Amino acid sequence: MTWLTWRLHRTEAAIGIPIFAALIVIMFLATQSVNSAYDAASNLGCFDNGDSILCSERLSDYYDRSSRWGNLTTLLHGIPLAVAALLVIPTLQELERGTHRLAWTQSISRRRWTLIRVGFLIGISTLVAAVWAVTTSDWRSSILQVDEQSFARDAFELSPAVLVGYGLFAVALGLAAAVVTRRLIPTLALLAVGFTGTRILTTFVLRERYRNPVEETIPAADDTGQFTAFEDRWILDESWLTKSGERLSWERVNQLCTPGADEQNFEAFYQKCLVDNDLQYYRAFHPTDRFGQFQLIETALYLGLAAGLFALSYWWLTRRSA
Amino acid sequence: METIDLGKRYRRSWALQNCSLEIPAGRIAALIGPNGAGKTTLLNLAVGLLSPTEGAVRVFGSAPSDNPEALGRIGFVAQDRPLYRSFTVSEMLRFGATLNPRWDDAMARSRLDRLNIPLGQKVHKLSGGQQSQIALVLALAKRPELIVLDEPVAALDPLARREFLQTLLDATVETGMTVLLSSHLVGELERVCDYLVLLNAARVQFAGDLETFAEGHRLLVGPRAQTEELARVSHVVHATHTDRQTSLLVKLNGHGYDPQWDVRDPGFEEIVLAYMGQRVEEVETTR
Repeated sequence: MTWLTWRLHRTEAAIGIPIFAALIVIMFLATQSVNSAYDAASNLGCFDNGDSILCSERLSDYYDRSSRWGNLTTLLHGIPLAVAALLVIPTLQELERGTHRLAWTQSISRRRWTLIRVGFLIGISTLVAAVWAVTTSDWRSSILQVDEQSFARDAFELSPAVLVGYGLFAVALGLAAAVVTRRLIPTLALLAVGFTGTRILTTFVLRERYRNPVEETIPAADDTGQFTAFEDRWILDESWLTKSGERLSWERVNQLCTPGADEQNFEAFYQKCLVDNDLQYYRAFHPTDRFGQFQLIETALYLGLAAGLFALSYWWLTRRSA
Repeated sequence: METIDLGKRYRRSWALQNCSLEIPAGRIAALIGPNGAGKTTLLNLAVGLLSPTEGAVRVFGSAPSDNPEALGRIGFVAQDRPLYRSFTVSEMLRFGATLNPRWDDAMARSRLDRLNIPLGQKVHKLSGGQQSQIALVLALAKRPELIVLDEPVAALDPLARREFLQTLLDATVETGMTVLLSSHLVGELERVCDYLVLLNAARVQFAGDLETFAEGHRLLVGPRAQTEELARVSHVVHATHTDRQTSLLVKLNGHGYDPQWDVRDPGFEEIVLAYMGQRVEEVETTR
C-alpha cells in the first residue's frame, strides 16, 4: 500500500516538493535579512533612542525590509490551499476516471482503502504544517521583536497550532469536494472559495468574539501614561467618553481641544484640556495572556470542521454507490 | 453465485427488482438485456460495488459488499475497463500484487508475454484491445473462482474481441472458474456461453441453460391478425405487424396451429431480440 500511495501521488509530489523547498529558502532569507537589519539597529541602541543620523538610517532600513518581506509573507497564507489541492488531485482523478471501481474490487475493503487514503492526507498535511511552523518560527519572533502584537495577523496565523488546523481543514474540504463533485474545476473552486471564506470569516469576524473583551474606563485625570504606552494587547475599540458616558468622535475631541497658535507645550495642553472637560478614556481589548486560549479555540474550530468533512467523505466513499 | 429477491433502487426508480437467480459453479453465463435493463446494476451488486436495497446477493455463500475475503475470489472487469493511465503495465501488476494475497504474478506475466504486451509501456499508450487484455489479466491473476465482466468487448474491433474472448475461454478451461459476462453481442455470447440470464426492464425474464432457452419457440408468419385469438393457443412473446402480415414469436404450449400460419424455428438471436423488444408492461405479464 505504501508503494501504491506513493505512486499515485508521485506527480503532485514532484510539483509540490520543489516549490515548498523554495518557499522554505525564501522564508529563511527573509528572516536573515530582517534579523540582520534588526541587529544592526539594536546594537547601537536605536530602538531606545534613535535620534542620531546613523540610527535613523538603520531603523528605516529595518522597517523597509520588514514591510517588504512582510508583504510577501501575506501570500504564504495560501500554502494550505495549494498543499490541499495537490494532495486531493490523485483521489479526484481516481473518482473521475473510475479506477476506484478497480481498486474496490481487489481484496481490500472500501473502509480500509478510505482509511489509508484519509490517513495519508492527514499525515502529509500535518507534516507540512509542522515544517512550515518551524520555518516561520524565527520570522514570528523577529516581527514580534519591535512593535507587532502577538495578536497581529502574521504572528497569530503562523503559530504551530493554527497552522495544523488550517492545513487539515483545507485538505478535508478538498477531499469532500472531490468525493461529492468528482470534477476538477468544481473541486478546486469549492476548495478555494470555502477555505478563503472561512479564513476571512474567522480572522475578521469570529476571532475577536471568541471571548468577551475586557472593558475599562479611566478618567483623564488618572492617566499615568497608560493611554500612550505601547502594550501587547489586542485593542478592539478605544475612544473618549463624556462624564455621562456619551461617546465622542475623534474629530469632536480635537475640536474641543484645539490649541492656540502660540501654544508651546502641545501635550500638556491636550492633557489639561481632557481633564478640564471631565473626559474618560474607554477601551475594549483582549489581554495578551489570552493568546494561547485563542490559539486553542481557533485550532479546535478548524479541527472540528476538518473532522466533520472527513466524516462526510468517509461516509460518502464507504456507504454510497460506486 | 445466487441472488434472492434482489432489488436496487436509485431515488424513486428501480434498476433491478425481484431478481432471483442462481449461476451454478463452472458455468459461463451470458447476461443479456437492452440498455437500461439493469445489467450493470446486477453486476455491480455481484461484485459488491453496490449494496442491495432489498433481498440479497451471495457469492460463495457470503455477501460480497465490503468483504475482502469474498472479493479476493471474484475477478471483475468493469465497463470501460478503468486502469491507472499513467502507470506502466508492470506497475499495474504491482498494484494487483499489492492488493491481492492470492495474486499469481508468474501467470500474469506469462499471459501478457503471450499477448506481446510490453511490461514497460505506459497503459495509456496501448491500444484499446491491449488495455482490455490488461484489465482481464488483472482479474485473472487474482485466481478468481468467479469472474464478472461488464461489456468487456463493446469497444473492441472484431479481431481484438475474438482474442479477448479467447483469453477468457482459455483461462476458464484451465481453472474451471464461473463466468458472468454481459454484452450486446448476442451472436458471440451464444458461441461462448452455456448459461443465459435475460434481463429486461429491471426484471429477470429467463435464467437457465442456454440450450433449453430456445426450446419450444416458433416463429409464425401469416396474414394480419389479432394477437388475442392466438393467445389462447400459445404464448406470444413478441408480435410485429405490417399492413398485410403479422409475425409472431411464440412459445408453444402444446396446441397445434391454424394452417394459415407459416411456421418455422427461430434462431437464438431472434428469440433473444423478441424478449428484449418487449415493453415494460409485457415484461410483467410474461415472467
